[in-house]
Amino acid sequence: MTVAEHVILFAGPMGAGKTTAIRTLSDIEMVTTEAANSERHVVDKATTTVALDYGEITVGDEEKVRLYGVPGQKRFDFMWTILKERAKGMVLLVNNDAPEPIALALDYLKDFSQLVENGCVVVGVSRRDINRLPTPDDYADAIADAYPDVLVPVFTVDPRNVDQMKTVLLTLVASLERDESTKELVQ
Amino acid sequence: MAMQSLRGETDALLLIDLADDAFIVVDWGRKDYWWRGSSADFPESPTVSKVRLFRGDGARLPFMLEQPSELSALMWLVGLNAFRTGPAWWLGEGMRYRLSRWPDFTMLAHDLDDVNMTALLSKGALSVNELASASGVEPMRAQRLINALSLMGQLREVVAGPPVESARVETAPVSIPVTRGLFKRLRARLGV
Repeated sequence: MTVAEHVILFAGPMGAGKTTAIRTLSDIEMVTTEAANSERHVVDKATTTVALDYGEITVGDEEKVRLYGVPGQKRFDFMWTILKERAKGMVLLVNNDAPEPIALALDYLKDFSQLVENGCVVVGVSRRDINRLPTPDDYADAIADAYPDVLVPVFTVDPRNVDQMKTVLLTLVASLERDESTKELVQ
Repeated sequence: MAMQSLRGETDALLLIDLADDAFIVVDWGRKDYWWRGSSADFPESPTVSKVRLFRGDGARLPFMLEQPSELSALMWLVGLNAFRTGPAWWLGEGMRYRLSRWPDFTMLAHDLDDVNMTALLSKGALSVNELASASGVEPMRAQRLINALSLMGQLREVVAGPPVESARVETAPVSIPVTRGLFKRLRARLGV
């Protein structure tokens, strides 16, 4: 039996909540590869993902949504190349308390520009309870300047919140489907 | 009516007195609102007793004891619920609508039909009936979403051309994409 696979990436800087988001959504116990964080001067967390996080959602008998968290540290960006070729879409998580978070988001989007230009990205802004600004509208303005032909959803997220993460994932899937199935319909 | 006409204001404070000593304060500069009422839940169909508007520099509340809520959440609720039987009064006839900005759905009381319809509007301009047909909801449900997104300033209007045949919405492309129908299946799987 062939199982249809849909690969969704979770990208973003260290500390944005990629591992937590996948854990929140995954059916299975998440496979994680964390190690001591060598950049505690950048983000004060004890461990960070050095290869991949992996979770999955089984949809019926013949379909899986595979959730991959890609390492936040750019020195692991060779992993991104491998994964983005298989990816249907991407959730970019950015922690709003990072220095210059909008510039950071744009930097990551540039690395995955093909997915952005295909309308296959949702941005989740985490830790807005810590830093309320910039707002999702501020992110959306900056992204619209960089990518005027696509409309990227930007949502406030708490990666621990299962309802919010379901909305993020289903928004991404709805965007993917609409891109594929409505090209004939729309003007 | 006041909320629609004040959209885009930067120095305005709107005080809305409701029945049962409840009230809403909207700070247009901060794009925030506060409300107080006898119930923990925001009233879906409040009775408005008085509306007061203050304009000009400093039309701000100096402080609040609790965290404010974002104005977009109030606009969403008003847009969805204030015009339950038809289009909002400012919407023209024979128009199509296209999304200009995604709402911050995780901060709004929404369901997945809202997400699905918004995704459709993000890809092209549709009339209310076309949107309803494409997303499998009643036209009034689609109209309420259009009302809400329009009040929030997140739609642009496009003069309608010839009607889009509803059958084309269901027509499969020559190469069937593997994600086709995944939204529906995943939604069922996730129980939302």
